[in-house]
Amino acid sequence: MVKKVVIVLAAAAVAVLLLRYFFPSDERLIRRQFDRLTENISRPAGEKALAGLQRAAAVSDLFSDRVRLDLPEAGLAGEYDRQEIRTLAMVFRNRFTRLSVECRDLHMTLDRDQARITATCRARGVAGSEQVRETREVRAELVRTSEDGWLFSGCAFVQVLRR
Amino acid sequence: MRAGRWLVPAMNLRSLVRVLLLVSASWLLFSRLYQPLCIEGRSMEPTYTDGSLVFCNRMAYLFSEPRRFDVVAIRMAGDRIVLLKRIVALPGETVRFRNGVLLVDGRPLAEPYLQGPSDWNLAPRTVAPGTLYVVGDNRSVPMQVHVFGQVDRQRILGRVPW
Repeated sequence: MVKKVVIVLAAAAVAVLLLRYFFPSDERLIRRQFDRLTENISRPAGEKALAGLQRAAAVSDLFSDRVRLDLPEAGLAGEYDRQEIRTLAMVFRNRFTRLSVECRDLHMTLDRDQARITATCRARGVAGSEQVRETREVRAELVRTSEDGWLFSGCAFVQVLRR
Repeated sequence: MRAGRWLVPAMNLRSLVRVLLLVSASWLLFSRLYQPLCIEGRSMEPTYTDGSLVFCNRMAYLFSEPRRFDVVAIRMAGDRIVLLKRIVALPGETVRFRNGVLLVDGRPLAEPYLQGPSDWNLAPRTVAPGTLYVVGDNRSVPMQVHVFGQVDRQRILGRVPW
């Protein structure tokens, strides 16, 4: 009896996983975009120059044609196009010899073709001889570009502590 | 034989219920009551060192308000990555740093948990209603790289009891 219950539960879990994989929800598609962004922003130790260029290009492909950035601590405020995002990604990544970026605690508000997300982003790496550890709350906006495509259209730091 | 049965019990309804109860109790304890936090960074040294494990009592402020000197966990976008800081001033109080000394309402605050020299200088500011002023214990780092300031009361997740 118990074995049957376990088998049925396992089969149901596999069915749910398959459904989620082949018919992803908007939330899942957006999470994938965040995963791609953090994966391509990150820089493994000893990365080749060409691989770096490809990753910077992959980062810019995740953004829409016009992107609004409000990241004053990074010296970025205003609208940027995809080419500028590519250059910024390249310059940013080149500051590090090794960088690992992750986003956690994603909270989404979905409209029809727009999504607002808050997340906690953590960067750990080495820039020159200096260890880098930064944690920020980030607010991002994404727009739907096709039936199953979402692109970043805005990004801003959220001020958690105000001096 | 008995030890083996205890480690890998027979798969029956009773074992299944036990496992479910254990999982539920663990989830309740470690996500809603005492959330474990792994410290990353040196902003709370020497009180809490990099890599150490602490617990955050999430029920601490259910029936009481945060108090001065409480070490609190501060929620960011969610509760998986949090900031750990110490409350040094309450709403309506004026905060200032002068040559590394913290002044609250113009009077120096005794802070026995501090170690190492500090040269911080910060102009006076009043803590806004509904917010608390939090600072890390490690004031020997340059002020520019230390994250501190006023935080909304709603962001306080709980207190680190020890």
